[in-house]
Amino acid sequence: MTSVRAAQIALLLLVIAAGTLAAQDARLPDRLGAQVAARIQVIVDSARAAGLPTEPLVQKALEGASKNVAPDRIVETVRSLRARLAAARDALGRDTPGADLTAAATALYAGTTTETLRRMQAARPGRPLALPFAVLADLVQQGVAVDTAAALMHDLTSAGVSDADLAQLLLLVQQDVRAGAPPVAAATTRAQGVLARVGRGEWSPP
Amino acid sequence: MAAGGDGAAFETLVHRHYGDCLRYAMRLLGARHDAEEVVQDTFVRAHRSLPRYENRDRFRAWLFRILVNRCRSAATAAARRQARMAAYASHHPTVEPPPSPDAERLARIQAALRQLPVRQREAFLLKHVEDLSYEEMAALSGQRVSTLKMRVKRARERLQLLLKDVYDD
Amino acid sequence: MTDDPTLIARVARDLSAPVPTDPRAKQAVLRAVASRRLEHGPLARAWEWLVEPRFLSVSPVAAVVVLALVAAAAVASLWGGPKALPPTRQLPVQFVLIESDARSVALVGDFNNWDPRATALAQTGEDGVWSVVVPLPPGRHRYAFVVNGGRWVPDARAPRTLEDDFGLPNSVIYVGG
Repeated sequence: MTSVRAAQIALLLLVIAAGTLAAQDARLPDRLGAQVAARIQVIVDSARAAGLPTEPLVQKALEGASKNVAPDRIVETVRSLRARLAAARDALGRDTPGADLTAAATALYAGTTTETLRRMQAARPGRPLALPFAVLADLVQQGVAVDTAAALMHDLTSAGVSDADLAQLLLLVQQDVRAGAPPVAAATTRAQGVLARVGRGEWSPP
Repeated sequence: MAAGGDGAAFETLVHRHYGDCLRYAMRLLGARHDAEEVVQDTFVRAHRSLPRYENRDRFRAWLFRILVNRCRSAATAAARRQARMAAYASHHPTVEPPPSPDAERLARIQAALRQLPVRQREAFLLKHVEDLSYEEMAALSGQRVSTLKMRVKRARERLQLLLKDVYDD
Repeated sequence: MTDDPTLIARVARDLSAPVPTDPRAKQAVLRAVASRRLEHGPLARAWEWLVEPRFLSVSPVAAVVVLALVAAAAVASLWGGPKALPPTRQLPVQFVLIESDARSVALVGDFNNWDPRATALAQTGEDGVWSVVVPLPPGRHRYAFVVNGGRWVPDARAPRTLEDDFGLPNSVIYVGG
């Protein structure tokens, strides 16, 4: 039996098992009603079958329920999120943790390219990326142009800046912007402050 | 063997050629993270193109064709990025230990290289550092041997001008 | 201009020195190549075979075996319960809203299924100052307030998120860890 044939049989059995074991998420009909819940469940099931994280999709649907959004819009938004999760996974690889994919999907929504995601992943090999991707999107929300935010985040992750420092950076940028600073100036100044503190330098052998 | 998709064989190729690729990329682009990214990209593309590799080419020269192309694509963005980081550093200098004489000399050489147009820098590095023949360089870049010789000559002249006292003790 | 081959040879020798290799960067290359092999390896090709529509001719015995497997899996799913997740460290986080016209304030977010029934804020004696302390795991959390059962209010003192938020913005908090 070839390796391809063995994999085919294994996958077929796995799909049968997964299909029967996957139950509907009880939160959805409770908050959305049976009909809308069923439409969302189809998207969630397809995401699960594709190996994508499903909780962000459920959360997005529940958020829509809280906001009393029209059902079609909830379904469309969840579908778009699923597509962004798939694009993130294609860019970053199949063994990328779900949290990283979720944050990468947010960064894609903010206008980041898949190339940027890959470059940030290469700058921080083997370490979680959820927070850098999320901070990138949050910087764009503060008014920093997406290319600038991406370049800053790449520089900061390359320099080995910690998650805590990245989170702190966002808060400082937000404060500066609220105090009247132009967003790009605030972001680059605060980024430089972080870099000066952690001492960006060429990697040197131990 | 690696062309058949044998994982271990390709890994061996990575281990064998990573250092040279990184050296070329660092000398051309001037910064480590840019170089590391480009080299990673090169090996992934090489793996993808393996079915098209014909064993009669020297593998290193074939790999360098991909590397040189990747470096060209990255050179402009890398230069912009380094200018940005230099601007940061000039506003907020950090205190660093003084570099060794060797490190200082290498930094001067690197700075002189950066003053060359990318094509001259490329030709100089391929000829004098990576030790490719002009024929290999021509196959890799699609340029005529005469053009490449002219670029190397101009690079040598400019570097001699910029570095004439770099070895004076 | 006279050529100085000695100078050039020395420059070339200096440039030829090997550069230190960061083992993590090299590992990243090997991982990238390995993941590419996975994407184009036998498993990926098997998946493509699986999702492509085709006619299947199945022997009666094979059909019975497959149905038995499906039935067994269904029975197993009825008996099995949800797996317990390992406990994660939680930190107390205070949320405050100043809202003088509020009769009720709820906190909603990605930590309580955006459910306005889940987490009510309480007035802390001062008119219009509402607060609640919630245990949250370290990381990034999105949230907002729902005032008087229907009005969506982001936290004015926190950064807003950038996402498809159905036109009603959310706030973000980073909990240290």
